[in-house]
Amino acid sequence: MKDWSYLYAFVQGKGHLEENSPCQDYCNVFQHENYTICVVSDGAGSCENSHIGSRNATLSAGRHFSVLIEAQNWHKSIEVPLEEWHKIALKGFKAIRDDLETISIQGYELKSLSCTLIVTIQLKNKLLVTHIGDGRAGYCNLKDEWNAMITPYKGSYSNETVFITSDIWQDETVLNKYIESRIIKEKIKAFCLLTDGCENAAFECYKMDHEAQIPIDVNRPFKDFFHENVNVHIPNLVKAQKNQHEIDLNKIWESFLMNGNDTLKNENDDKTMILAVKTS
Amino acid sequence: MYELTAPSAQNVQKPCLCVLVLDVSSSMAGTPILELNNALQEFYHCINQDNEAAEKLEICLITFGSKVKCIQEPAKVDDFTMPALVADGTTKLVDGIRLAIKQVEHRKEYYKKYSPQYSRPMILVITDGEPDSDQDIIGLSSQLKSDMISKKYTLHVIGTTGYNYSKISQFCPKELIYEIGLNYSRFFKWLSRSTDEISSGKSLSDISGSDFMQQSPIN
Repeated sequence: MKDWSYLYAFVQGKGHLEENSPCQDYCNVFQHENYTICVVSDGAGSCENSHIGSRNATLSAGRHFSVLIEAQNWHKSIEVPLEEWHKIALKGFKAIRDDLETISIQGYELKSLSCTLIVTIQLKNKLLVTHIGDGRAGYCNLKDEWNAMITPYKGSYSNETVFITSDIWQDETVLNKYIESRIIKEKIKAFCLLTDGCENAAFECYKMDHEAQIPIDVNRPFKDFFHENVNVHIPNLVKAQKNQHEIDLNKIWESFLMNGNDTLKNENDDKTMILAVKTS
Repeated sequence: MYELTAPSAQNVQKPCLCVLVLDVSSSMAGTPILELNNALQEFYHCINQDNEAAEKLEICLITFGSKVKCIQEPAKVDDFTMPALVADGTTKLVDGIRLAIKQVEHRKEYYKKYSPQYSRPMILVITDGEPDSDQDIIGLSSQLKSDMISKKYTLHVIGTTGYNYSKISQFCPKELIYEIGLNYSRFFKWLSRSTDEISSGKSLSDISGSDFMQQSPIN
């Protein structure tokens, strides 16, 4: 999408920085002529090779979803039925899972590669989104209203979720419980995909229910986190970039994820975010 | 150099229940109960000073002597004051743990009604002895095994000077038993900053600062 800018980075959280252990998140943006694929992946904290899993799953997602979208001709067509998109999403995730299994044959146990995935396919007039596991994703419409576009899957306890390597592939009914797909048809000016390490800063997640006196998950992008960046700072950076080639948007974004505010600075978990902004 | 900043959302912490099951049998009289009371006050103070912990941690206090009592229903430190314990009676330890399990189940039901997310509850049992001879050790052992598999909560037994390891290990998996001597103060200070990791199911010996705790003698 030529009139859009994509800022993306993955950085270690405070915990992994102190332990000098690898960032278990990964992300990438795959730009094609008529569509763009964005992928973020969060490697399971308890799995020793999950940083390898998240990297491979992301790259694999870029390949498989591109083949699937082009086979459907969705990058050229107007209509994308939700049911069809969900079927394609399941196919894509299965292919990614099988790729991880291939890596596991080469010496890494499949479960040690556990990771979540959020994938968006940005077409001319719509945004397809699908995910397995937790994390957050949202979009901003032309009225500057931010809405969530996935519901993260959370297990019974905090930090528990489902992974692409989990035992869920027996039948479609089980898969439908864990894999969610949606189509955003509103006109949009920005969207974001993020791992749960960024959610406390970028999303309104846990608000106190005053009657129950315990928190409820409202799952809403925090407008003030995005507003100035989407409407002012990033368009200005893109303009400046056109004149000064040394501006690296992703380096600036990486620094923002490290130190952009106290919540990001103090977060123990790894942090990954893709922010897509219409800049012309 | 270009830099981006942004205000952060203000989210509250997800609730985390910590049930302390405390031995107040007569063998705790004297120095041990004094040390325990002081350590509980320090624990309370440490949590109170830590905004994040104070916001999320719900503390429940159960004592066991000849009788088992829940002397503090789950509450945040803002909503109660730490009581002073008095040592007296025998050691209904198994009944104490069973009451803790009931408190956990009850509180989880409450969380589930409103919130999709809460941390795994933790039960910490502190004893300087062994269960009375009429206590159902076998029944508890089988319940703990099954509850551990289904991750209903985390449970650890912290043995202080005089505790009977071989009796405790008849109902509690050995890897969940630790010895601290009379280091009540050090234990509770460490606990105040380690609740997240305990709740995640991490082995206590893998948590930073736990080197003063001995994993039990036979291990």
